Amino acid sequence: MSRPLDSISAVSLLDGFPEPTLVMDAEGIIEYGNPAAAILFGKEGFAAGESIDAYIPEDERSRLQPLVWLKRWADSPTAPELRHVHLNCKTATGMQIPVQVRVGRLLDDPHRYVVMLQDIREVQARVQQTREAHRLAARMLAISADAIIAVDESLTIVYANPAADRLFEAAAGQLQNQPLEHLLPERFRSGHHKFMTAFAGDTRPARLMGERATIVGLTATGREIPLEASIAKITTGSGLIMSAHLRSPRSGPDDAGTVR
Amino acid sequence: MVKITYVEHNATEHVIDVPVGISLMQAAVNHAIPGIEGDCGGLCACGTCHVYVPGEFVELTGVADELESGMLAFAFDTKPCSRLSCQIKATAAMEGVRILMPARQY
Repeated sequence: MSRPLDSISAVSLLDGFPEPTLVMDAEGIIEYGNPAAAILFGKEGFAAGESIDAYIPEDERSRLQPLVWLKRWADSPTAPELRHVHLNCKTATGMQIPVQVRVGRLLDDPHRYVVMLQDIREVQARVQQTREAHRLAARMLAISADAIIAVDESLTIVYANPAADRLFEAAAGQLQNQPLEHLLPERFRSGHHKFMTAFAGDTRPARLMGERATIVGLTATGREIPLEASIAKITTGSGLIMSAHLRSPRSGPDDAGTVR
Repeated sequence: MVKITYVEHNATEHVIDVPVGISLMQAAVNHAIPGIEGDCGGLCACGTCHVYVPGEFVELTGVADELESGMLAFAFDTKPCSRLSCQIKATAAMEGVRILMPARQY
């Protein structure tokens, strides 16, 4: 038979808390650390009078003062920076571990703070991998000789690479947020819209160059240009994104003047 | 559009056309310029779009407010000329501005 919850002490509750948790006073002196915190810091326990500065030291290369920020976050527990910034904590062996931090004040004692720490090494490694993959993809898009344009379900341009700007004789960034139909002569807009709607509902994830006849584009200066296109689609958390790789048939690899 | 030059820590220069009204962080991210991350998307909440603004351009870019100065505490190798580029909006007067990037954002 379980004991009533109100008969269990706060310390006992914190002892069983799976997240590393510290209680400190306004000067940053640690008054309590739960077993999960001891494991995080590689210690048997916390001695009386230890300062949080020993565990979350100031960084040599930044101007960060952890105690100042812990207090600031306690006053603003939903601050947006809490989603993006982390502190480095230092273990008993001197190893630095990035931790995400949440801070609260005790309701009946505003001079005491509860600090919850979360080891984010794995999260950080995944973010780093994603960031590097994104950086590589962005670099590839930036140097691509093919024009690449992505549109959302409303056929609004959400991305255009520099080659697309050049192909459509537009200034950098000019194509962004424009309706895709602006890149088509008026007489083709209705038919193209039907084609894109059909492709959006099609089970095929992509259609490659050569599967379609040459299409006609319209530059920002009003010039009509023939184009070959490969199209692909992906469903994202914010909806369907369709992309097109566009190439002028005259400047493609079959052009004897450009192939070496 | 104004021409802004981003200078990487290794002295590699990137000159891009930046639409007036968008932040120098957003413009850098749009052009995949290495060295500016902008993890928080421009909320002044992460300190990963740290740049140095040479003195001759400070009048054009302005100076950091209290919120930005606070977040700069999380940036590495800050200097008195440090700014978060998400807080610098391109203006027509900023044609030719050069900003320098630190060696790291993390």
